[in-house]
Amino acid sequence: MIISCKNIDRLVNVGFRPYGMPRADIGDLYDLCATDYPVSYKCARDLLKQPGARVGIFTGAAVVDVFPKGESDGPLGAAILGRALQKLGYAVTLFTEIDCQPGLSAIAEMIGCTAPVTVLEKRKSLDEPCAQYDEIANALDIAVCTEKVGVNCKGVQHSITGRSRNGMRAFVDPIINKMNEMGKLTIGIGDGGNEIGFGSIYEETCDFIDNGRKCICGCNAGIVTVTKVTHCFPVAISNWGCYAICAALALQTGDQSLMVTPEEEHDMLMRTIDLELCDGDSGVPKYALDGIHGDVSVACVRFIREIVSAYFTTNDRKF
Amino acid sequence: MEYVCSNIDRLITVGIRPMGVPRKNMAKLYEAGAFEGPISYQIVKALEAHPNAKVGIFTGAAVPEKFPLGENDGPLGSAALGRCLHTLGYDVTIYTDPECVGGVEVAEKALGCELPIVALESGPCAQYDEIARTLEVAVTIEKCGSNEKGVMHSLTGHSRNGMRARMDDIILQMNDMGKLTIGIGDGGNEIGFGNLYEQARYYVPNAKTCVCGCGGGIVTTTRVSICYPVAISNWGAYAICAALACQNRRPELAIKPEEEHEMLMKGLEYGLVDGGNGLHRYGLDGIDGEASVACVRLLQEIVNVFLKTVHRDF
Repeated sequence: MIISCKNIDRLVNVGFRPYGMPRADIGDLYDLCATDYPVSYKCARDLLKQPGARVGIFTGAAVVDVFPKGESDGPLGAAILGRALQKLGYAVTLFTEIDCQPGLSAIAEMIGCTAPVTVLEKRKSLDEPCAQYDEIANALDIAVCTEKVGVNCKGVQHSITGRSRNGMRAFVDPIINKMNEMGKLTIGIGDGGNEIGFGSIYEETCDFIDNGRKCICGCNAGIVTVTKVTHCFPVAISNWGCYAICAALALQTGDQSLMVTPEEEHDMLMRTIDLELCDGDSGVPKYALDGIHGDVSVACVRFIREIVSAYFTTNDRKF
Repeated sequence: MEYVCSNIDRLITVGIRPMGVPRKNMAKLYEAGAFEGPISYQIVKALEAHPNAKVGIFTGAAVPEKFPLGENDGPLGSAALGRCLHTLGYDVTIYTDPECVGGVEVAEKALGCELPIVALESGPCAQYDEIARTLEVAVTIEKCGSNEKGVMHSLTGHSRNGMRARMDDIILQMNDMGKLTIGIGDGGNEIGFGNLYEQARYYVPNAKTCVCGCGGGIVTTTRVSICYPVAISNWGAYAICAALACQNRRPELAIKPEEEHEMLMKGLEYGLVDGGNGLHRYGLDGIDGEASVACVRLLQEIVNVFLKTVHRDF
């Protein structure tokens, strides 16, 4: 099982970033987080230690004037992971900003995830208090962030290209920090170094990522978040990290229905066009994900499923 | 290029073998051989240093009574790499065992190419000397090598002596002449793993204990200039095509998903067998054929994305 998880993690760390985009090898960052066990394995193992827990999945990455309803990376993975955890008996809530709520709700509904979607309040700065954040941290047992931006050492959220996102999105960092202090399980899935979780490997990420120590917003502190989690899961595309955890859950429970199917991935990506959930690289709603063709994400899903299927297949090869 | 090649190599070293088949992590052996950088990149640079060279691609893994026409891992990759190199101006010949000639022909036809195919004699002979003299570059794909006792083995430790051309001598002669030799394999028993002999003996199941009685284990001692450990040998060949496509900025050099599907289907109709389980099915080394098509699609996209530049101003 550990070998299978290791191979799943290897697959979801195959990098696809084109020239013009920050292109650090995220696989090197992954390796830092997997010195003991594959990260997908650890996430699934620790989730399964808390049957019936209250799990919050946080996502959403809208950009005013560019993709005001959010992007396709984040909501799809959140919905699939939410569905898997619901099937396993967890009390799941999806959290996102008001801008991203319609897209996330629609995707969740289409794949049969019935978890409620709660709108996160926004604040202009990290210092501004928010009672909702405290309530969420108290109410949840487990938090999973996927493609959810975190603040850098100066309290600024950034895009991968170094632009400030402050004022556009909720600050989830206080929720995660509080849950960390309470000893609760927190998981951060990201593909750029700016997402919640990379604080766990902060210095290395600053060194590896193109904009790790510089940005263009004026804060001059780089894009890397300082927000830590129990398990940081660096991946090539955040949705794939969620799919990898679902696969690891399938391996550990024997229930292969926990995974996304290639048909579902295709249909979800097609639906993002109507929902105006944009491809994060081009900023356009299209059958694509983080700059790659939609069929490639479907192929990745197919590949993940085969790794799991192979684990449950025994060949008595006597020749 | 090194960035893209490291991702190509990461993809095709994703292990996917079913339980019951020796399934240690081939990525460990890859990493042992990649200390000078991504291996697909090393191969591209080495091939570039031999423009228009005479290249021999060696493949074929028939087992009488199990898969008398051979398995589909090897011939498909050979045809794909052969086409790619031929397109780049190399003078390519594919060498295989007499039983496997038809399988290579089928793969070539599916790809729309007609590279010469030569049947190998069974053991060291004048033909081998001539091949070693004539070729400038040799690439072996899923081609069994001999262990320290001169015995070729299956992955599960059965002897393959007498079933296949024992062609290590060609590679050894070419090595002695300072020619470029490349060995692609996925089990430790294929030509090339002599470079990583001790590591393969440590990581590969059956490495030290075969069931044929020779007592030498399955790992070959035959070395090459560059050993390329991968999850499935065909994928290693496809990876080299993808790396050459990037280096030459010619995406058409990479194999397409529909071509992989066609080769697997035509191979199935002809009688090539899934080597992972010995079954006559739409599969490859124990996995579903669609999974190999998916791998090819991912490889193709790595090339497409590499050749694209975006200007993200948000």
